[in-house]
Amino acid sequence: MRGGSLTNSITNRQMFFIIYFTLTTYSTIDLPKIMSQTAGRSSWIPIMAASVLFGGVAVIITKLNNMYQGKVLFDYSSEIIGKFPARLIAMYYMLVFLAVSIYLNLKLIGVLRANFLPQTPRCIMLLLGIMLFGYVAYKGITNVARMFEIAGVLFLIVTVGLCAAMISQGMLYNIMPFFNITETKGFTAAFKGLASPYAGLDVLFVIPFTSKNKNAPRAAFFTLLFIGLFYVLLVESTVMILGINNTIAFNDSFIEAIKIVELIIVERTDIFYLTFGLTSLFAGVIFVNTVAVELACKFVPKVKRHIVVIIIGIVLFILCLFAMDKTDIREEFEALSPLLVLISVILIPTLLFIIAKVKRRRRL
Amino acid sequence: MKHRKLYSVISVFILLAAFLSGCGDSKDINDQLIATTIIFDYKDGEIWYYLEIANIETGNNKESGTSANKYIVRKGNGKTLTEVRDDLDAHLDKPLYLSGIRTLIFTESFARKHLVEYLYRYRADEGYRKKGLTVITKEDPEELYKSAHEQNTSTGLLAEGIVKTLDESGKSFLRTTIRLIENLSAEYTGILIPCIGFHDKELAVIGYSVISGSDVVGLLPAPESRGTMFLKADKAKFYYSVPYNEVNYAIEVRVKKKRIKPTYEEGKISFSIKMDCIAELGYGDKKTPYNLNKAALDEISETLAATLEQEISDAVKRAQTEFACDYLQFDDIFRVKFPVEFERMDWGKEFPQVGASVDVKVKLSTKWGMDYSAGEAK
Repeated sequence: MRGGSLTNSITNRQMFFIIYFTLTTYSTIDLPKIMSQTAGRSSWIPIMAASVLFGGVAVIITKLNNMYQGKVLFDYSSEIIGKFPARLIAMYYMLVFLAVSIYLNLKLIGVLRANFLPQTPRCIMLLLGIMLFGYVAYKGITNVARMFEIAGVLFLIVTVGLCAAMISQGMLYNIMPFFNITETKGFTAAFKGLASPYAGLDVLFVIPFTSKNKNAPRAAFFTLLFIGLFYVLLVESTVMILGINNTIAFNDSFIEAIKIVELIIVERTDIFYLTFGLTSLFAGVIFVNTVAVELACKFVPKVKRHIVVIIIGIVLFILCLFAMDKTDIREEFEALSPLLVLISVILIPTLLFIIAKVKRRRRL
Repeated sequence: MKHRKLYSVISVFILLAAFLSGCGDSKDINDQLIATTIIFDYKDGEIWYYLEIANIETGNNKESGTSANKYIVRKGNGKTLTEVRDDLDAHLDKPLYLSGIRTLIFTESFARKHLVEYLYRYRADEGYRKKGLTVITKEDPEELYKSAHEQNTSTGLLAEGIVKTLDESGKSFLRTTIRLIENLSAEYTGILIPCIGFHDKELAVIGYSVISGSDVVGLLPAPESRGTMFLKADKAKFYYSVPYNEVNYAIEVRVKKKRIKPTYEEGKISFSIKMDCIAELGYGDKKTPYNLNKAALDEISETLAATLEQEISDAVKRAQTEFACDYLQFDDIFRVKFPVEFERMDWGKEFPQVGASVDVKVKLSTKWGMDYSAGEAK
């Protein structure tokens, strides 16, 4: 099958939707709760600060990819730091993507079970899901990116539309004052809480850039700023309609806020949202799975792609079955995510970028 | 080619499985008890619940669709809310569907004891419809049901309709239960909850129960609540009768713009309430012509403005003195402007001392097509 890197190329617009879907998947539903309990009504400040910080990281990753066009992390990291450390880094990312995939699969099953399929056994949903995601992963990044372009527009329109309805029906004083000096002491905790919503940028490492991606660093930076604004919209609209105390009390505060919105035709606004919101969760799982398959294919280039897909699917299924019995998997993942994000999204890309730059200068 | 076939088979299998799982998880509406209203009462040291359930079977059988059995009322009791739920569960022949509840109704005695506990339970229970309303009553729950069922409607729907209609006509305000819970969860709590009861044998909003902290501290009767509604309703609209030159003029007054600004100087809190109103002179109680010139209209406007200022000032004073409860939500207005100072103070102690100045401007016009001008038909 299409194993060549260049067949996995994407446009900048597709990159926008890949980043958008992968990042928003992690915590759209509970972001308002996390932010309200740490930074209160001043949440927009750490959110936007984080989006600028991660925008910088996105610039570093895209610049690295542009320095080695047609190659992915697995290939160019050997040139930067040598074969063995490069393999270690690739292995590390592989494990991270598998861990994230487990978390997202379980989260998806949780949402499906709570809202649509209360009696279907979780392992059946898991099996069907992994088979579907495996099939999509087999098709490769370019096809997934094309699908994201269509699904992304729908998801964006529905979510922003609902947020607008929430704002029009909410109370302005719930989100005011926009800045309270006493809330700044919660900003450190807020930054920790923002690790998950901004995790996932490292998927860019598995996408080979081409001449089409010349302006990718600028596009990636503005994508992160856009995501920051999107998060601010989610948090503010939820707090406006629920109030700050209710937002903290509900685990899935965004869904609870949507339930209160009155639309002319739709009575069950939550089901309406979830129909589209699930695309985000599906898209996130699909992309993380695809990325894990891409990385695995690099490790075993002689093994056919569909065999890799099947093996990853089986491993994922077994690991998910084990994780399913752990009731605190969500808390454990969230506790671990700041460290994962620090290493995977900030430290490794920055170090690789610095070393690559220094090596290039020496060559000159 | 071989693989394509394999994946096609897998795709069809997935699609079929997905559809089948949907069927497996479906629940027929006839297999659930759809609750439409719940009333809680507290008497003789016990909590009593009166659950109104829609009788769907009646709807299926056209011949037996009488008003009396369109709804079934199930009642029971317990010492605690958990005991009440256990009692309810023990008597159900089908699972209960709570998302159909339009209105929660508490008797005053129940609200005094269990308002906070029940509303927190409501928030924690995913089954409840969060857009629902909450009202308080002083009436006997069974009488409330009897009155609504005689009109062939659900008590919850009726109560919701009454409160919503008042809100739409500008004579009251609408607060969802989730908004009440937000107020209850805040450090300072002052709330008004519509109180329904019988007025000329018909169900109506007879006033507003005042909740301070977690207790019901009094009732603001509806006829005396006009000033308060000008402060609380989104688009307050009332009719006034203003006497001028032996004619009583009926005037519709609407709030166009409302600004409430707090100041905090040398430890003293004050609120400046400014309101721009649009008034429309409808008719008089004597034969036309009324010979109303501009000077006359200005005089009527001033009289009206003075009346409104007095009513609004009285509403603020009443909240401060009679109830010592800030149900006017001045706390939120102050918190927005002075968040740090607000966090340091006990608003419950501050509110009775706050100053308030009221300035109302009325722009009066007359209805087209009637002769109110000096001898000339408009």
